Amino acid sequence: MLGDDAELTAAVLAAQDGDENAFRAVYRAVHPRLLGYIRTLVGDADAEDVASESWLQIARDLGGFSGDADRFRGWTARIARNRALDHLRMRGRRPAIGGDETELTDKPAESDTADEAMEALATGRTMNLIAQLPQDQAEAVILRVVVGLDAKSAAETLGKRPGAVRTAAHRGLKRLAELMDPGGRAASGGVTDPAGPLEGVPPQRRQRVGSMARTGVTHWRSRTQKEL
Amino acid sequence: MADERNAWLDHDVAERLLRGDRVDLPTPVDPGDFGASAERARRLAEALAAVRAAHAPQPAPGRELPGEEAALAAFRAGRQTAAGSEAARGAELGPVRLGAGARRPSARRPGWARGMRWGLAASVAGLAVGGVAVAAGTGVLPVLGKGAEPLPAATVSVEPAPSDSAAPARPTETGTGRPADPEAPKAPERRRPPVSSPPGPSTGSQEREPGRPRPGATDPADPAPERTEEDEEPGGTDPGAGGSEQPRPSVGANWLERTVQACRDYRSGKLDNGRKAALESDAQGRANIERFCDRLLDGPSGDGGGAGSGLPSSGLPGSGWGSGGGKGDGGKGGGGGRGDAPARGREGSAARPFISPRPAVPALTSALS
Repeated sequence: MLGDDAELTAAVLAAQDGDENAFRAVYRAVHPRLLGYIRTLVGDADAEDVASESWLQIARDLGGFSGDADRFRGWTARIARNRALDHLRMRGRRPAIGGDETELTDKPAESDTADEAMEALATGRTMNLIAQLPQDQAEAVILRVVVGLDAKSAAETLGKRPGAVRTAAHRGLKRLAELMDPGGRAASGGVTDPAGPLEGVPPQRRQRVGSMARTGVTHWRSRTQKEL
Repeated sequence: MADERNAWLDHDVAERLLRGDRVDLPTPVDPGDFGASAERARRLAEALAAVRAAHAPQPAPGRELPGEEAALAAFRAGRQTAAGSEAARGAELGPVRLGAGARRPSARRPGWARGMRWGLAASVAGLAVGGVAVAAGTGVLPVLGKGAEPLPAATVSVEPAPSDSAAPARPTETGTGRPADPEAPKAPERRRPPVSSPPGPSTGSQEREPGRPRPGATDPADPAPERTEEDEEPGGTDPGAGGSEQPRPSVGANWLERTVQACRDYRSGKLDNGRKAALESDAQGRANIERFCDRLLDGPSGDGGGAGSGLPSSGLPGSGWGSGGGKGDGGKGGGGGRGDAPARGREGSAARPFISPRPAVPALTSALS
């Protein structure tokens, strides 16, 4: 990761100087995670549009940025977040994550191998679970895991205190762990099943299939790197 | 509650999971755990890793992505606009970047927006400070009251702007000629005694006149030019016994000079802790001192060294203000409002609204010296 950071830092600087290839490098390094984040906010359908708007602003304001790779990721995430929230606001919608009514649709993406399909499925499932967390927790987790921000940059992106974001992320993981526990054993007070759930792919506890998100439908289609 | 199952997920483990670090759980305390905790931890770690990997970029150089061309077009358009407006900008400090030195000319191109922002910030700050000045002038603010004892350096360094802008409230005195002027750098210590005593108007003059030689005497460094400037103040401004002398503007003027000198000393490594603390507070942080000093010392000379802004809102000298609102226009209440413009025609050219804009006048040796 260190090498990636150094490369991104250098590419940003070169792009600020006008180097187009460097800008391309920046785009390719940042866009996939940025898009993933945007999708959690506005849903699949509008994510590309919001991403385009975000990059317009990023390209426009690039000269005013100063900092290293971490800060850059945080800066671009902040721009994306603002564009996404504007997008939602204009349409009277709310973020896709943080709603109990998020539709869970596991459509495995086109993938070459069964492994990839399984992985995509698992990823999609996890993202669906994350989408069920309260928004602040989901966003904190997503910024750390999907976007790859460090704690400090995540806090800056959200405009919150680092402690608050850290707490939200930790709670999010806690809840995620609970959601991932298979079988409706939520009520299993003190007794722990020694057999444990050792299946390869953890089944969902509760499938909220078919319920419409109040903001519109959120399809979380797992995507592999190939798609991105 | 279900939490017991995930007691293993404490803050440390959570942080490691979020970072993508390897998670090794300690041996479970609960003998009934039978490795279930470890299993949950593993599953969660894997799930997060999968999510992380699914969104990872391709290794460089990778292939073109959707939306890349559009972004590039915006990038090109942005650069053309920036290049076009580069000439329109005034003296602008290159944006701070890593390794900014060599790249400054071209890095400046897209930074015109920042120059404007600084100018706006400066204008707003100037108006705010002007308000403080008026309040200080009317004796509302206890801080800038009649304390006659020397203030510690750290305090003084914050004072310059408000105290400086207090000058216009006293038309007779205008910053006892302590122009914050790096063109004529002087030892900052010299400034302290006069700076530190911002007495009220009534006592000011009385103290100043006899007081002047005192600071000059106590400060071995450059007593002559100091007295020169100080004395030419009353000569030029106060027809009487120096009416209401303004030690306050001298605070402001002193501050810039002092800070400039502090920066020089910092660079040469001989900055003592007291001044270093003051410099730190001006630069808003130890890490920023270098950048602050770079701007202070290497800023565009057009502004005569930039109006070192004592304003906490920006730990940067106002060299960017050259393009903003600080061109010594009287509208700022800190700039041209200084009593006698005729006595020092230079004032208008110095774009330092809050520090006494009077440039050093070493040539004007006062009769008093």
